[in-house]
Amino acid sequence: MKNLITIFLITVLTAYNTTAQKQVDTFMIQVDGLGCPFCAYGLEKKFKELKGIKNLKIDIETGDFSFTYPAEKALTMVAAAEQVKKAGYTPISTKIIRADGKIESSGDSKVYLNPKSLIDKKVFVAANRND
Amino acid sequence: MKIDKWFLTTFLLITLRLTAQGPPITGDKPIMLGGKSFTTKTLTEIRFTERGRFTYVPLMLHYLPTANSLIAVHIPFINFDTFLEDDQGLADIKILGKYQFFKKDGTGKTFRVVAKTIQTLPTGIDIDSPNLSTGNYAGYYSLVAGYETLKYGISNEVGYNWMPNGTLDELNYKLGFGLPLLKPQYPNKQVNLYFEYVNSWFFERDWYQLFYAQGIQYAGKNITFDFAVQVPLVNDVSAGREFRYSLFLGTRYTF
Repeated sequence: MKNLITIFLITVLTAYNTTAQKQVDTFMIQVDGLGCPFCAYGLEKKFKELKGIKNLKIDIETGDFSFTYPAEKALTMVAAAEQVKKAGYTPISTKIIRADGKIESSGDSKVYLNPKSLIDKKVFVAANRND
Repeated sequence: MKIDKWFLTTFLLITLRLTAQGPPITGDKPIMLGGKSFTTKTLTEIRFTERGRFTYVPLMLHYLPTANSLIAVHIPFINFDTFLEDDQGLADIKILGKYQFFKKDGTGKTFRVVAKTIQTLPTGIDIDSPNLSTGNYAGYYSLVAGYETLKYGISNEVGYNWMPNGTLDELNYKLGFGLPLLKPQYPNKQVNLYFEYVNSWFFERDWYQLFYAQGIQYAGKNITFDFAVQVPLVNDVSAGREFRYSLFLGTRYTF
């Protein structure tokens, strides 16, 4: 009986833990301007203002900055980049892996554009000529 | 003495190829560590001159309202023992302001320029010692520019100190280099060497001095410990006022 209870508890805790781990968004930001390790502290400190932030890592040689943040707070790409600016540095690119598996990337912003807006007059005229 | 100067110049030119980063010791830097943060600092100077010994202990509190601005107050105490008198007490309180108006960032490097002012209040004992205590109001206005990379850093400052009721108007130029001795890492753990020059021209008195400071710094995640020795390379001042050397001992903590 004892063994059964132990197995049950382990299963419940593992399941809970797995669920909890899935409830965070992972942010990866390329930051320019980290010219010294001491400077990187300013970046870390600014992001620690965001309650719930965890797993904060900074690679000062590449400028790669990553952290996890509770998914329910829905931190946006713009807000994350703004926080980098408030720390005094320059955000170059941002990638977010959302808790539900969706990936957002600052480089993919064109995906959200209306396809009609990508067609300018020249393309339209050229297409007509081909017709 | 000439050999010393050549040695120092050669050493500097060699180290220019590898030099450093981080906050300088006797100079200043244009990089600020994030908006809405505080830094407490002290940089005790024990100065030995022909007149005697001066021990200057400032307590400094810096606050960054934004990522590109800084305000600070320096409350210094001084103890001195000269051939004329010995005493101790409050030195001139200083209010400092900085505004970063130019920034160009790259991966692992940054170039920044800052406008700076220091308002010296006449709260101290008049011992006629520039940058320690004069008992006179003074307004200092300067530009600080610095280029920092993970492999080297250069900072320099050109400034003018205006003292309307005294004769210590000063034009100065500071140039500093640093050399990290450990591989860049974060969380931060660094040992840096600093090579800092200060040119100081008190033209109302026709004084000119050039100082060289050799410093070493341990930098942890948000704390530094600094030590430097400053010696004069050029000491063209009135007789009896010559500078011998200064010892600097400091720490700073950011929170």
